[in-house]
Amino acid sequence: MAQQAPGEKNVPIIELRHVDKYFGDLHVLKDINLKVEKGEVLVVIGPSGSGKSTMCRTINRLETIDSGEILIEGEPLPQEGKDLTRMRAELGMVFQQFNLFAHMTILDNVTLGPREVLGMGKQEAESRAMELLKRVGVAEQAHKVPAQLSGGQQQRAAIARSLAMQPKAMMFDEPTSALDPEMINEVLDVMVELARGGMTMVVVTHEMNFARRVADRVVFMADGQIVEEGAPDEFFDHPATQRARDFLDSIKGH
Amino acid sequence: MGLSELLGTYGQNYLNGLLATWSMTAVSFVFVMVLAVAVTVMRVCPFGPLRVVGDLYVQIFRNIPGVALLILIAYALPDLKIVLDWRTCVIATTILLGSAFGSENFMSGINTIGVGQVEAARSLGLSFTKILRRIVIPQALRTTVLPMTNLLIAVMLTTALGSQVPLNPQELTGVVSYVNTRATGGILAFLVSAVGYVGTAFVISLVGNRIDKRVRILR
Repeated sequence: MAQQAPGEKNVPIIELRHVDKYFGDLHVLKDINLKVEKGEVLVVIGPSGSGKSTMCRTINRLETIDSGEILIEGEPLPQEGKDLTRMRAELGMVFQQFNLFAHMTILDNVTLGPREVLGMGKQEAESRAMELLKRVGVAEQAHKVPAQLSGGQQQRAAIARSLAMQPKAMMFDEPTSALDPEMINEVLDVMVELARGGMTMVVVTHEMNFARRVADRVVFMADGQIVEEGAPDEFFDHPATQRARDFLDSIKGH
Repeated sequence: MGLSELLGTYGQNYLNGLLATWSMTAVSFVFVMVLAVAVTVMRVCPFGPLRVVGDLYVQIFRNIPGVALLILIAYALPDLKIVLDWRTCVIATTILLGSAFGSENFMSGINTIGVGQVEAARSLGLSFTKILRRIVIPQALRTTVLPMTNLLIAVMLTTALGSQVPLNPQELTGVVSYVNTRATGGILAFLVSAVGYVGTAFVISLVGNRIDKRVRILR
């Protein structure tokens, strides 16, 4: 882990340097350079197929990259093995489809990581899990299985599962895209609260209001490139590029 | 020979045959399941050569007639100085055949698990072995109770290979050939053993259904 002397400039929690990725002939990430500082909330937006989910998934190596470098707290992301699993344990990930373990209760979903990876005892893991489930508002569902919960509840449970690992940073890959409209806010509320609590977050989303309210910085991607980035008000009110203006126009009025 | 005479003379043989069939089935099935899991783990592991070995295993043992395999084990293995007793030969044949089919069942169970769950487990920092143990294998087992029930019945029927064994065959079908070489039991002799198989299969599927209802995963 990178030690830093007091007063020295902070090492970014996540840094991507010249990252390129191909799916076959398709160049899905083109020379991506990005830094996420501690406590920062970075919102990634862009049309579908722009590579934003893929980029998000490269950060804990659910997708490999073809060239470039990804650094976590200044250390290169390990390629495989124990080092990679250790690094993954320190980064939270929330998926579009929730991906809760279907055969386990919500409580077991949340305690699995701490028990299997952090070696925490059953009692401690469960009492912490219950606290987290309370925090995201699904404590009453703790002993149900995922299929018995609504989408919004499942996603909040998935956030709790991720939080149980006490991650350094969390990635959200379109966390509300699979939800019925009336459930989107309950998930966003949890994310707003997390952001206010100082969690470092990378959020891929189509929720522009969320981006405006919560983001410290907005990154706009199109065709595998970062086209524009800046403070949310600046970006939404005065987009610098035509590509961003077109995109913002296309989602206006919906 | 009428039914009462048949049972009067050979009733004890039938009973012993049924018990032998049950015990061979039970022993075989335990090993079938263990091997099926092991072979399937090989087939999904990240190490290429092991995947090839696992696939080969299934292709070979799924596609050999039981009798041919039994002959190989009983008559070819002694050339390699491996001499097994007859019962062991039959059980080994049953295990090899059954585990190949079991692995196929198991693979289909694994395919019902979304890749997303595995990605979620990887994101938590779980290793490949832990993902298998906590996520993949439990779900695959719980979704394949019914096919595995069928497999158990098939394993029981496969133990009838024991009737091809010389000298003094012990299990249910063996008893029939034993009877029919000494008397003319004819079809009736077969029917009595059939009752044993059908009755057992009925109980197996009843229990299988029960288990399936209890462990089925809500989706």
